[in-house]
Amino acid sequence: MNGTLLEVRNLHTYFRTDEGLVKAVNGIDFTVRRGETLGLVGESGCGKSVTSLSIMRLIPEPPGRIVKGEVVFDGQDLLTLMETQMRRIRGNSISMIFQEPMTSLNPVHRIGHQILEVIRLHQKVRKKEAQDQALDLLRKVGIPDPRRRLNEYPYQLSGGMRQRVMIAMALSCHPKMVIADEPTTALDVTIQAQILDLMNKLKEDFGASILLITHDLGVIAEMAQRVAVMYTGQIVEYASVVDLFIEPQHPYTQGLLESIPSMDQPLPHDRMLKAIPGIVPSLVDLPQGCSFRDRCAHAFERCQSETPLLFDVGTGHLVRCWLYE
Amino acid sequence: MKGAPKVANMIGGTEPGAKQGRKPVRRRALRRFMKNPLSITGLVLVVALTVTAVFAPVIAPHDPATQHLLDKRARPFGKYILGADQFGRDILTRLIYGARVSLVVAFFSVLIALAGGVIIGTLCGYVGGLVDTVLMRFMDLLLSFPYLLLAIALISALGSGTLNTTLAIGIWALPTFARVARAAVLGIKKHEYITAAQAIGAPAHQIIVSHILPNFFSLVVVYATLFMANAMMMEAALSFLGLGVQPPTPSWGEMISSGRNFLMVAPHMATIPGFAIMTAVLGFNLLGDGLRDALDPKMKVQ
Repeated sequence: MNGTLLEVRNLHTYFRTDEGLVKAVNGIDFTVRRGETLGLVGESGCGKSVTSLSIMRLIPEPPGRIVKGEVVFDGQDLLTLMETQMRRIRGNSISMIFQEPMTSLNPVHRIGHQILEVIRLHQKVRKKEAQDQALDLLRKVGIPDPRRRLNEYPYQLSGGMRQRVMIAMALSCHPKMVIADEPTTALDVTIQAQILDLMNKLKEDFGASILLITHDLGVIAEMAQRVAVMYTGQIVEYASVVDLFIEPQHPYTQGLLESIPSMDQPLPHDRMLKAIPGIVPSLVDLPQGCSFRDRCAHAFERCQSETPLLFDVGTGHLVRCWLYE
Repeated sequence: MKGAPKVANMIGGTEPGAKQGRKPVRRRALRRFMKNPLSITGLVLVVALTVTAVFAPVIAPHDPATQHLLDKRARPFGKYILGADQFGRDILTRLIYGARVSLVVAFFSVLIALAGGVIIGTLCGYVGGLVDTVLMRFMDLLLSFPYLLLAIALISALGSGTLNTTLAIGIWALPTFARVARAAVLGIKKHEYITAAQAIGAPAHQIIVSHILPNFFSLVVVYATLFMANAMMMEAALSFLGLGVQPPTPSWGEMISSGRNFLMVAPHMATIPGFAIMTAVLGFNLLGDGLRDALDPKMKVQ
């Protein structure tokens, strides 16, 4: 079961904009083992989605560009592949689930047509056979009356139903890895729970690894084995899910966890939820040193001048902070 | 060319989120179309025009080229229902045959513009970058000519005649279609389902043909219908100037042009074909507007 499936090394993805060069992903490293779910957490604009699109090589070019790094998937560096080779991997070995089930299905095609498209792109099967596969997939993702749904258009399905269809499409070619980019953000809480359960169950059945991108720590706690916390295009903390929730080390992760309101604690006097002070610095001109230092209570001189390195604080728990040197 | 900004609302195709009943979208569009008396009027006019053009030899009471010199400039409602021209040719017959020319030229020129414009516009919108810049600047160059001047220049280069008139009008209309298509593609490209299609490993041509085109095709069809009216007027204008369809082929523009010399003595000669042009143009405009309202539910506020 073990062994590395995906290894991202020193990945840099930049975007050229009118304001200047945006370093959306600025040197990140992580690995996803076979059968594992790695959570990638961070707030909007920290580079989570750009990371996933970089792995798939779907960064719109221009303005974006993968400047350097390696994405080693199953022994080969995806960044060196030809576009045609890459197309054989997309949807086949690595597939994606998107945030907005309302817009990630094409409104003009029937559900069945869209599932068949994936199957027939990667498998040499007859239409009839592909149809049976599609039907089977819809059944697996728990869509009632799948035969009728195959002939319906996306607008006739609810959000949760559409996300199930997206999952069916993502699993249709038995991928080794599924990248789920905020798969439950657009759904309401009960549906979220159903979809997460479904993903966990199917992960077991299909034996796929999941790269789960989210800003919801609750989702991470439920799904992931290991977690990478991103901030301004870098990973600031990388740990197993238990370590991260019990002993968060980076001031940013600590702040994130503290800002989750708790039912057991009394309401603060000012009735305000806890938050991390300050705002995320602009990616166009990141400050010198640690990019979190202006919002950090522990910042000291060194944080102003030098970008912290990743320090191992024990058993693979990595933290990008000078406090742990 | 009115209506262009309104049409832009249709990008994205079918209503996202709307869940009224389980009726197929197409049937609902048809019902919206049938409920609107103006679009029905447009449809009737266009169908009538088309039938007239197709069955011209059957319907026409006389031969369009035969001259009856004794009856020259005959008044309407006499021997000839709509009178005769300066050579004594039956005006009704010439109108009926003129509908053929008018429709054929308009249809094929719009087809040229539609095919070329959609190909160029889609390519520019999807690929972007240098291809986009070069092709679209060339389109801008074509658009920067005063419209009649461009057509005149093209005809001077190609020579007159029905085929060249069609070509000239087609080329004249092409940049507008390219722009409409490009704008639509730029809008559609931002949707997540395009990224999703890329993420399943679909090649670019498949994404364009199967995911982008169907999403704005109704927009282009509406635009083409509205543009039929423009193309007809353009053909009439060119024929009026003697650059378009050449005699003895009957053409409405050419009929106005020759009737103009007799405006004082036989006003019917110029006004009747003028009225025909007006009716045809009105028909296509009403039909186009109706189609747009039917295919774009977000517009039905009025």
